[in-house]
Amino acid sequence: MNWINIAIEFVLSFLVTLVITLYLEIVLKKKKMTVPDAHKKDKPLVPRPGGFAVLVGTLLALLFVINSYALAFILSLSIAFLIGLVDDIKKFGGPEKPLLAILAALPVIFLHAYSSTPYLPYVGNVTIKILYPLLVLAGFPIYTNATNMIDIFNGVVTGVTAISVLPFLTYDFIKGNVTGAYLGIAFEASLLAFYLRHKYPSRIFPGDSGSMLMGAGIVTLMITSRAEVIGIVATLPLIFNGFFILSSIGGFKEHSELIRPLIVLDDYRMIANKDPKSPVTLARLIASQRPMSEKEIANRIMLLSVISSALSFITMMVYYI
Amino acid sequence: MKVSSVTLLSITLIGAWVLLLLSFFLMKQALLMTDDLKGITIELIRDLIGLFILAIWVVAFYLIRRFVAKQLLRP
Repeated sequence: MNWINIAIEFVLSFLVTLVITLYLEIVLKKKKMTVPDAHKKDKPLVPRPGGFAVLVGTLLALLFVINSYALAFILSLSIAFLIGLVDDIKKFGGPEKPLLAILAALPVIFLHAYSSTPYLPYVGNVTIKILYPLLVLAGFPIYTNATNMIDIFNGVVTGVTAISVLPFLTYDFIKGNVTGAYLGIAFEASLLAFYLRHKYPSRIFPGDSGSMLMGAGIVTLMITSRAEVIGIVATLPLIFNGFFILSSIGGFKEHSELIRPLIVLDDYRMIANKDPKSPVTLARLIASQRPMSEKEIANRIMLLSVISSALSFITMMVYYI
Repeated sequence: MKVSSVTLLSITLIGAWVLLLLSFFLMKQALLMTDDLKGITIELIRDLIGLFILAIWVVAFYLIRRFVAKQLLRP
């Protein structure tokens, strides 16, 4: 592994994302492409969508590695971004978005950027020829929607994605998986740069295009790195949040049909809605005992992500190395 | 003693992690039983065992959701 190239890629991806993010903040504001930040006093207008900066920053990975894995990575991210962008402009109905997200899996399938022999703890390498491609197809709607559903507070989706990618990026470095390391480092650097502007108080929002792109990034890296179980453990808070919501409301539904999971108080702190019909979300569970500020809830969600990543590192150390 | 919501969710994450590892242990035992099989049958059985493990995860996550919601969202 060429460490100088890795360092150049990190710096380049970081700086390009940061510059484009700052540029987007100005341009989107001028074009009045803003949304109110609902959990703050006076509801300041925040530019959206800024996910394009992450896409371009991550594209730099292709400068250092050109093969079917890298191409599948970039195509999957781009497709997820475009689906999200359409959603940013014209909202999709309940099940449309997850169905369309399957399209983002097609580059991975057709370029065969996966191995249907994953390594599993205790089991070792096991060939699951029929099931694996189906899991790849299912993985994209699951993760793109999981990141989309957790994108409710300042900085959370970017922070959680950046934390979750760390274990399988480390795995790529330890195993000498050059392609995975280059793709992962470009993605991670881009996320860190975007986080600087997305963290509380947000100067820009990623939009559905940004959050879906992040979900696609997680699942593609997991597959191309052959670190599926490490990835699943690292992303447990994302899976929990998505699964809890869907299983409590009984499937994909329009936002307008749902009862808000949190009640915003006069001082802009939030507390869990005790209505049993409102969706079970991580944020609602966290704010179930006392009112909390947006920053407190966001920090707690990221703490859960850090714990999951720590468990993922333990899994890697015990079963993979 | 009342535990905070984040503590309970952290314990739940650890529980889910242990369950994931246990499910792979179960998968290993199931695969060992199919050692004598060969050809297309073993490939199909491996896929079915994988599906069974996924079904266990879905049921487990559903029960976890019921548990944490009961603990934290009781009126």
